[in-house]
Amino acid sequence: MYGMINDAIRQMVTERHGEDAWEEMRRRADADLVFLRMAQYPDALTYRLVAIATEMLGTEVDAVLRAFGDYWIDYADEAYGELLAVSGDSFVEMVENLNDLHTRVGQLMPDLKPPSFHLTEQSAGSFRLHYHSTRDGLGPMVVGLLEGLGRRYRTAVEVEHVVRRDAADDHDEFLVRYRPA
Amino acid sequence: MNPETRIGISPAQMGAVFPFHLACDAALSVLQLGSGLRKLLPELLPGEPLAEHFELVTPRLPLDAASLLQRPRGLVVLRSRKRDLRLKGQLLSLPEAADAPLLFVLTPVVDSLRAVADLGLQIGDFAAHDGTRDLLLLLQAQSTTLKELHKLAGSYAGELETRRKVESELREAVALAEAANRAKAGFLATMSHEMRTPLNAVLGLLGLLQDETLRPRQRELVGTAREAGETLLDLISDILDLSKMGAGKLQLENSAWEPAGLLQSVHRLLQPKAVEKGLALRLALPERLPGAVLGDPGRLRQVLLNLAGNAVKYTERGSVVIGLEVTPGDGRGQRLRFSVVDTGIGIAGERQAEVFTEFTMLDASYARRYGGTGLGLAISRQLVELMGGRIGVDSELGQGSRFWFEVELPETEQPVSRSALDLPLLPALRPARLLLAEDVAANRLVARELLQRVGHHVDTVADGAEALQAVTGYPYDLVLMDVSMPGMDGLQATRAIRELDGPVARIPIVAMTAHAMCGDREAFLAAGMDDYLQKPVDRVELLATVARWCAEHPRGEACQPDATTAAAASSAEIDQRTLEQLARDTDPALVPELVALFLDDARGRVARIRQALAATDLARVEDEAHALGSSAGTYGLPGIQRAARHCEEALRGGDRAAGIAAAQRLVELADPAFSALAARVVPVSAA
Repeated sequence: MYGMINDAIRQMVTERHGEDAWEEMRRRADADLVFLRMAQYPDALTYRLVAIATEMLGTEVDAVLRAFGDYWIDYADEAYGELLAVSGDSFVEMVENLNDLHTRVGQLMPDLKPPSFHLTEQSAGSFRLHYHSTRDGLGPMVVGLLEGLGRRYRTAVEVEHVVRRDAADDHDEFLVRYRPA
Repeated sequence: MNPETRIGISPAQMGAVFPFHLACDAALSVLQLGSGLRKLLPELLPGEPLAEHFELVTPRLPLDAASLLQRPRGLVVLRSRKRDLRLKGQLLSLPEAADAPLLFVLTPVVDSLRAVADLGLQIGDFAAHDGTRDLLLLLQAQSTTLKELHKLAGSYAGELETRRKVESELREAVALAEAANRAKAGFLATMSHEMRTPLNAVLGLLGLLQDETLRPRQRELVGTAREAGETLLDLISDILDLSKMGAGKLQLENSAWEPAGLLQSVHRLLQPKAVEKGLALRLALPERLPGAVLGDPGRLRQVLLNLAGNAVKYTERGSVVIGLEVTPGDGRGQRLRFSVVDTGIGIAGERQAEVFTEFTMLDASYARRYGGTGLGLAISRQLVELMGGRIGVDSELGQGSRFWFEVELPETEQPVSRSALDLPLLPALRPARLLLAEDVAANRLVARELLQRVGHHVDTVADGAEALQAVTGYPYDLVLMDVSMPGMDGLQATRAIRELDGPVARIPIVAMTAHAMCGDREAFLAAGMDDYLQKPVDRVELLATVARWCAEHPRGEACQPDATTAAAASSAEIDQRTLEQLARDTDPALVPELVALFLDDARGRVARIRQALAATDLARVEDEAHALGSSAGTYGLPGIQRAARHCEEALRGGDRAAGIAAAQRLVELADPAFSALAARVVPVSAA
């Protein structure tokens, strides 16, 4: 996992729960003081951070991932605002662009193992999003991600996690209903 | 059908694949353009002349069909004449297409994501195959990384700044703490001076009181008071030592000395106490005793005396053995390992490490029983470590203890200087004329009594000005000069004496001071003083110092010993206990000398009493009898003392007949008593 993910977790925890909470998490996860966004870190560290946050907040892993997906848009807007600014003018355009974006970024960052996104059943107010990833259990993060994008593009979004990746299904599917503001 | 013409591309399809393409006719009028280009240049419409909207940047050719057709390959860059926009790509010549012989396949030149936004474009406006898309992501990654680097550099600079600030604050704090520590050390030294001066007087006066005739109960009380006072004095000395070491002010001496002498001096000092407790105190010396070594004999003696003193104190029965082993050191020196083995109660293993830390006493009951501050071993450890040595203890509860320390010291050819350690080598003691300058009456009294008791003549003055006057009026052998006195102090007086004319300017002057910090000694010597004694003045040290300076600077007029030898021993009464007390109060090795001095003086007085009796000079008889009586008691001759007192009291009471009778009896008793005393005490030189 690229350092930007861990750094976003750090920033989110610090903003919402304070420096001390982050310091406790960091120590417990045995993480570095500073994450370099473009450097590679073990996936296990990120999962550890998520598990510790879950425990400290006394909530469910899914809730933490969903909140993080939502926060990721803010983080990306701040860190990669210029990229987002030219990646689409609307919620749907942006979602349509997700796959292209991740694929190209994957070329630039050799070890990224980027996820893939593609849309089916597109209509005026809804689409079905298919999410493939080599990593386990991050579906709830995509729900937050879509909600965060809706917020960024002032679009009311309702996401239903209709298919969960498991032994029977090799990917997650989301039914997304939206209505531009 | 020619395979090359089989792919027909509609303008819409062409626009999807090449959004920034531009087709022109042979006259370079625009025929067709892609959607991206239309978005960028809305006013560029089909039919417009190309040259009106663009100029050719690369290649450097005029923008006409003939020029372009000569160079169909290579990069083409067009610059818009209407806005800040460059397009790059390649030119395709289509001679078979009748109406559109020239096709530009272009893409906007962009160097950042911002440039894309500024042009009003989205990434999606670029064709999926266009490498510009990847370039833009790469540029984004680079910009993100640069921003991150700036942020890290900023926080690094901030950290450096903070560290510099903290370090400077830390340095200030350390300087403050050091200043406070110096102030504390100075305060402790001053306080120890202030405390030791009156305590010294109290101890001296108690000592004098012990010499008086006391009832047993009174003697016991005075003895207890004196012991308590000496304990207090030890405590003050210990605290002073610790404070000096804490302030880093303790400086070690580096002089030549002989280990054997040190061991013997410690043995001699503890012997009376060991005898009193019924302990065997022995020395275990190596077969080959080391010669002179370089080091601080005073501090090493302090350590050995502490260990051996503890052993004697805490051992109820059995023995204490003070030992020395010598082995070659790691460097050029010799390793001296001193040990003290006792048959005392021992120390349990887990407590052994604690005994060398400050304020540790193994059992509080020891403190009540034996006194002691618990500082001695801590001071010993620090002293030994200061010398680069080690200290330790091997012990088992109930099996006795072996305390040891070792130091490595270089051997030396330098002559061993005389010091208080070398009492057996003292030059023969002879009465000297001393001037004592001391402003505190009690101290004056104590020092004078000590010196007079061994036969010195002592004049006293109370300040520097009086001292200066006194030395010009009388040829003293030595001046004992207190350093701090009101008016002219000891240093000023010394400088003034050194500036006098004649031999008096060279009179030996010994400073007496309770200033205990290092550096003072240099100040005294710089003022012209020859030596110094630390207060409270130790009897042995005082006597040794006086003897040394008077021997090195003899004056012609000092009394010479009477050569008459004693007659046979008589039944004269000699009080052995008083002589033992004298040995304890001074030093066993000194007693023969002291006795010899006393006898010289006493015989002189008896002779003068005889002369005065012949001349009926009863005032003279009374004076001499008084002096003889005072000292006879100290030297274990109570019969002489009583006779002298009778004589003195009768004469003072005006009973001339009784006085003369008593004087005659005194003269009769004197010679046999003196001879008996001389026979009882064997001089050191003969031992």
